[in-house]
Amino acid sequence: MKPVNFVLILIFLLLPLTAWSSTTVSEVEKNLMCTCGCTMALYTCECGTAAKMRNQIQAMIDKGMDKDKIIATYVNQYGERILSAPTKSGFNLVAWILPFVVLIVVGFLLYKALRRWSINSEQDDEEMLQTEVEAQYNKKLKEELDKFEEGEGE
Amino acid sequence: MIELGQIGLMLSFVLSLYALFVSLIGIKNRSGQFLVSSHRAFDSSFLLLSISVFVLGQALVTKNYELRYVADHVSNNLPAFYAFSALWAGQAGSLLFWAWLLALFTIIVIRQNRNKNLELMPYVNATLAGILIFFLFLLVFFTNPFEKLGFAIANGQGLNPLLQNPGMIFHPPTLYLGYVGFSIPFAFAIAALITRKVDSDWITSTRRWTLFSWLLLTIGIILGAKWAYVELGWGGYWGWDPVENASFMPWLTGTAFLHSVMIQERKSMLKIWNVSLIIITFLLTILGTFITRSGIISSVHSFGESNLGYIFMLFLSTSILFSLYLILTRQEELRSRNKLDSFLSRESTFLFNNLILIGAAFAILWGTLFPIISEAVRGIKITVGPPFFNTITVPIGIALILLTGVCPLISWRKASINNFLRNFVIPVSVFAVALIFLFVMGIRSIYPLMSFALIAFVLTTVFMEFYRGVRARMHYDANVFIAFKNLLFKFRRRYGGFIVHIGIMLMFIGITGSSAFGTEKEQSMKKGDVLKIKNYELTFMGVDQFKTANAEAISATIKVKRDGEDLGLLHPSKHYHELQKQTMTEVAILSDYKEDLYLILGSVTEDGAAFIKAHINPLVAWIWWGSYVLILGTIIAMWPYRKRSKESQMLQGTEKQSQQSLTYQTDKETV
Repeated sequence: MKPVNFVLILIFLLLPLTAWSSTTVSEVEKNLMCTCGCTMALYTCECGTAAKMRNQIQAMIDKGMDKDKIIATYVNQYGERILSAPTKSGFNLVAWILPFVVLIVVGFLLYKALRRWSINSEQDDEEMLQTEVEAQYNKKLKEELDKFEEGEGE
Repeated sequence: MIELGQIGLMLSFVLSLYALFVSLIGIKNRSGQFLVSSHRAFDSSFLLLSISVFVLGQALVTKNYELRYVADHVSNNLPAFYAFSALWAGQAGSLLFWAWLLALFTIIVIRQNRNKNLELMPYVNATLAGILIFFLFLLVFFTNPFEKLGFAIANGQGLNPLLQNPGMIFHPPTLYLGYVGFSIPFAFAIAALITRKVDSDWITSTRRWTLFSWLLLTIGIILGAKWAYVELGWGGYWGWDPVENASFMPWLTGTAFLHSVMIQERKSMLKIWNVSLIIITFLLTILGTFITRSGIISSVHSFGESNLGYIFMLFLSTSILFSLYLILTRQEELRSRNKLDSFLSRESTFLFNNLILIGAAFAILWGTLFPIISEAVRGIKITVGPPFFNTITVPIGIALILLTGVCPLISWRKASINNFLRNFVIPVSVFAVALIFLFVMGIRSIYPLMSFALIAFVLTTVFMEFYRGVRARMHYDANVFIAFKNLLFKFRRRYGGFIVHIGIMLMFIGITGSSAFGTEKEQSMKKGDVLKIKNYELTFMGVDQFKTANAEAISATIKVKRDGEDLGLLHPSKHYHELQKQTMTEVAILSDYKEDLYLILGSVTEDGAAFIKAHINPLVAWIWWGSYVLILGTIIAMWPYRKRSKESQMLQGTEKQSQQSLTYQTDKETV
């Protein structure tokens, strides 16, 4: 098998298995908050209001409305706060993007700082080594010179 | 009797002010007498607060409706143990409990440090007195639990039915123990900054306090998750509620602190970072209370919204400014004199681990506060709920699992490329095999695939650590079991930590399994109807009505079969609490290591038909098992060494040598 084909098959296999089914209550309720004031997402709420909302959603599905239309109906009625997460548009994009931007930027700065700290210490090691070598060399030179001078004196 | 509680509270407030005052005079005059006097004031304050707590507890259990707090939180038919737990169900009671815990911890710290940390302790006293004064000020002037109702009533309003669960008796106190416990390392950090003694002494002196607080906060969070799972009845255990988030954020920063202090202890680096981390952790515990009490962010936990939030805000702002001032004016002392030996070292990976933990805390804080930001910028209120937090935190969580595995594979100080590669061969091979195996088993989604494979990677690295340690100890010990025991108990901190990692990984198995592979089905059922979900057959046998101590209950009976095998009966039910006009869902759970069958009773019609919702939540039990392992590991890590006699000090010296030799050997073995 050609490598390209193998990669294509792999990519195909890795794709999430998407269900080609019609809208379900479960799909819709994950995107909405319960309107009873309990501040819980609809799918996590078991109160009477939540049950009524689920019935409404089922009725809308039976009428042939898809997920986006049902959600839009609720947003028209209650405003954006009915959504269980910010929309991925306009100012709300900041909510989604900022945590990752901060992580990447701080991660990069940390990487640079660590590099600097460790490179500096390696440089320090080298400098120390050089100084040691020089000191040994100078000592040896001084000894040789002393010997030489002593020899001359004799 | 009630008056005794009130007097105790007020005198305690006065004594705390006195303790702060004499601590400051003692610091100024360098006089031990004043400090001794402050210690006595703390002792008396604790004693008086104990009396206040006892009086309120007794009033709750005996249903003394003379007090507004009792009338608001208990009722005649409420069982005594729930009545006592109402001590922390409302605002005034929980703040009183908080203040009592703080007073208790303060006198323990004073006793622990009678002959230690003599320079730090006056400032530790003053800081703890300052925090105690704040809580007592709230209790005396704003939310007094001993406020009288002023008229007679026959029955109280009762306890919120959501709180009538055995888990709720322990969940809030353990959380508070964690929150309050972080005040101790915070106070030492402030003392270290003021005295400019920012070396590792304050860290080693508070290591056990930090671990204790972290452990209790962890248990509190897990109990909260368990409570949500069995009581809220939606099939999950974590709803990303602002108050849940408020407990999780200090846990994340506390975890980062526990790791980064190791670098300060070893290399005297990251002083500014560690001081900042513990200050942030403490401030986040206060922020949690602010969120709960202010009502500024809607939360299912906002049982007692009040204007107290703004006083918390003031305290929070003052603490931030004071801490910032201290850090900025102590930069010279906080500056590190040492450098990293190499970029490729455990120190570096610990810092990246810190980055991920703090990044997660920031992401959660950002999401929690974004509704306020959105309203301020656009004038539109929005909600930031579970879909947002799941999307943001899952990749961060996977990165955290990866780093948990990578850290132990890289040596302290400096790892050579050869060492690095050799250490990675086995864990990476296990990761690859796990990845292929899971793929062949049919897991296609990238997150669960990566999560499970990385968990296998981490567990391999931890088991390798144990294997190498035991092998190295075999030079000294007679057999494998003794070697293992000695390894674990002589190097508790290191191997206790690894056990904590195992616990966290087991929890991640449960979290991944239940969030990625859960299924659910709902059906309206008449007697004899069968609901089929996966390999389960659920036969509806009918409903029964009965009365409990404080509610009317309706319960369904469901016969459960799995692969044709009879597993018995389950009884999901609904409890109607007349007093609060609230209906509570009581779920029925059949749990084993593979999955939980989780049944919810919906509406019931007059002809006895019922709406049943069934969830199959895979691997949930692993979360609870993982938490037991985590608790065990933390206890091992924080278990104190025996007080040393001269002889044992010598032994300790030998042990240190043997530890060094062990580290050397394990490193050598991996090279």
